[in-house]
Amino acid sequence: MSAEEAALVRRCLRGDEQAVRALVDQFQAEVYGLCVRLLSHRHDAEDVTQEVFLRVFRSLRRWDASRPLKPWIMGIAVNRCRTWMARRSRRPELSDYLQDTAAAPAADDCSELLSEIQAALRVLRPEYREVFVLFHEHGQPYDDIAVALGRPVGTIKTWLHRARLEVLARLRQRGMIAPEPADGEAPERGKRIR
Amino acid sequence: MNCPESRELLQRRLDGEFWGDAALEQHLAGCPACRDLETAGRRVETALRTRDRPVPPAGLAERIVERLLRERRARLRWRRAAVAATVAASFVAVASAYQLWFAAPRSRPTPVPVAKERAQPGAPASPLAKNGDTPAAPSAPSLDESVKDAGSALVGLTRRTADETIGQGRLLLPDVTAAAPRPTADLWQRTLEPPARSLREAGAGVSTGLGPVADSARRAVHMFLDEIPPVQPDDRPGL
Repeated sequence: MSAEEAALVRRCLRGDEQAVRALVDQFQAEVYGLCVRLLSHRHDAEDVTQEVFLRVFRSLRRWDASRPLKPWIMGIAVNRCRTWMARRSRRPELSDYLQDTAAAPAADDCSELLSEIQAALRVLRPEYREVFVLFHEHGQPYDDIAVALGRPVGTIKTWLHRARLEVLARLRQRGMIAPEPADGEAPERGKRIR
Repeated sequence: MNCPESRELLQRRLDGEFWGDAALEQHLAGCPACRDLETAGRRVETALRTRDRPVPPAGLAERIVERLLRERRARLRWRRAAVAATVAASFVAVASAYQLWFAAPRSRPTPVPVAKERAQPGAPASPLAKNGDTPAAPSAPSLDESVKDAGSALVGLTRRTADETIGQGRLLLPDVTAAAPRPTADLWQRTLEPPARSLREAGAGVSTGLGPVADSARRAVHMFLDEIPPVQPDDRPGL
């Protein structure tokens, strides 16, 4: 948590329009990106992003100023996505659902791999998908994910490991990750993968 | 190192918590399955790292801010209306309490005789009493009613006083056949009416009511004196 965040929140609570705009500008890309990954639909993600910020500003007085702001906002985003998905599951599915973000043709192997990863994520359990996206695509540390999802760090690690194994299994089924030759390049020692 | 230990370390390496060691490298060199897993994990991780982030559509932030401000204005209007309604309700409550406290008759001691007179058998019973419920407590009489009751009591007292005075005169003067005409109750009532509206008027009513009493007593004394024969010095009995 930074002092700038606390000051920004205080200005928002006082009704400062510029502060409201600044806070939205600061987090809208993160929130929208998470919503797109979790919902796999850009229009839905746009609607949910608006709802997320409405919730954020309604609940801003309850934000604990001793904690960072981003995980708190991402937690609200995850909750809104869950609610939206539950609502969506109760209504007839539109034809463009589940194809919106994976519809682009694969330009190369990497794009094709990403499409397969996205398809693999869609069949994951929601909590696995949330942890995977927050960790690998948004670079959130375990502690922040634990705050966002309201779960212990150990649980978050377990979910992430299972999510990885399931994604890899799916990719292997789809022939996206062929076994490397036995004399392939070994990982560089000491290099951080993340 | 076995395969489960190796995969646990590979997961930790993807988590960024482990940098690798000679034992893991040695196991990977001799285990194709773990090596495949490690290679696939690195490919996925690299692909995700290079993946473009979804870009928010143009104008999304503006729409969000506009919606936020609109909702904030609506909330403020609602809050002001709620405050105004609360203030108005408080004012009405205070005004009602003030009116009840200062305009309603204060509790005053109820004159017991008057209350007893009202509870006569012929008097109409209250609706509660008719229904067999607990009768309501008698309400405090108004000032006019109190003055009327006082006048009635005064009339009765005066009548009794006049009767006793005339009776004593008759005992003393048995020959007297005709007594002075007694004032009727109507006369007293007329004298007392209309009822006073204030204590001052009540006092005047009391004075008016006492007038006939004095007149009656005065007439009785005059009748008594007229009937007494003149006393001669020789007739003085036994003196």
